[in-house]
Amino acid sequence: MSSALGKAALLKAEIRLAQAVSLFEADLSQEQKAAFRTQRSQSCKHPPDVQDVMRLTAEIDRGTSGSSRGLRVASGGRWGRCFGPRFTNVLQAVQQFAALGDVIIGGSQNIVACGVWSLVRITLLVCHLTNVS
Amino acid sequence: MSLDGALSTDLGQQSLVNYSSCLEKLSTLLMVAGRSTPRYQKMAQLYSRSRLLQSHLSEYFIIIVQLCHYLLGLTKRSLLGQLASLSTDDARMKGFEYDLARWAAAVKEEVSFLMSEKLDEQSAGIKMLIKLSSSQSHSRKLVDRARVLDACSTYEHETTWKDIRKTGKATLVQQMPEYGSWRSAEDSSTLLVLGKLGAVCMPEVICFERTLWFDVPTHRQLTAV
Repeated sequence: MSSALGKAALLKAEIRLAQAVSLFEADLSQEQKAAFRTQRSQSCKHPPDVQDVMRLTAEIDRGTSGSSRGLRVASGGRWGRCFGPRFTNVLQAVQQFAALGDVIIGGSQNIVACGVWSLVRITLLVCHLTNVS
Repeated sequence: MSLDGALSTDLGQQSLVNYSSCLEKLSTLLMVAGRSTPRYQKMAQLYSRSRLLQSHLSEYFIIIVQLCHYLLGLTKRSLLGQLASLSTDDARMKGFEYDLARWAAAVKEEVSFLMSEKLDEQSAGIKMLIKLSSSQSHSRKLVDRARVLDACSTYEHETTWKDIRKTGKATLVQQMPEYGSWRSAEDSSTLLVLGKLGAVCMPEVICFERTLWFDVPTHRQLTAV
């Protein structure tokens, strides 16, 4: 009885995760959608590792500090900060989750986990680029 | 600068300041979540074993996805829209922070449980090893006993008995009244036969009982001293 309940709950959580990912995907613009899909299929083939996490944090920092040059005058130099390292832990958790897909038998798990990774990646990049410009 | 222009730059600056605090809040939220975020080197081993862990992790990442979705919605909003919804944003952020901490705690609990289970398994393995070595010591004990018996006597009674057997059977024991009453006893009983080591009568009785094996109730004991 309890194991059956556990199974139902698991199914629910996993399906809800997949659902949340596809809801997110639906809200993206056409370009973002294309970027998201290529990113996801890439990370399905090659699961992200720790280096990808570092690369992403560096990219975020470059995004903020790169655009800071133009905006520093307007905002009193508030944009020169590095936010990347703050994301490292969460990003690493997401990366590990995506890399887990290798262990589990069945491709759907992999696609959802890699979807989460690509989604977090795209959100952070989009957030920084669109808000700053 | 016209009034309109001044107003719009003013609004723009204000929203930038607000955005900055929003970005700050977001990064702080992720940093706080990051402190308790489920990162475990052995996750790959544990993950496939526990359905509960899989469920908790899925829940955790659902919150992450929802947070990302929410942030994406924020980027789409106009500056005015962002300004208008600052207080609700704060509430949403708090909600995300709370949920992330909750599921991270659930994952942590499950992982520590699985780890302790693993330790239990290891100690069970050690117990098995100890058991194995104790069975080895048991067999060594048997060998020791056989050596002690051999030290007492290595006399081959079987061949001597077979030689004697050629001359005839010994039925003396079977004529004894005690033997008869032992044989016909209903309940479990012991027959004690005293004699010299290597005497003919004991193997004779055993041989006789063996031939009648199926008639004799198995609960009777035969003891030779």
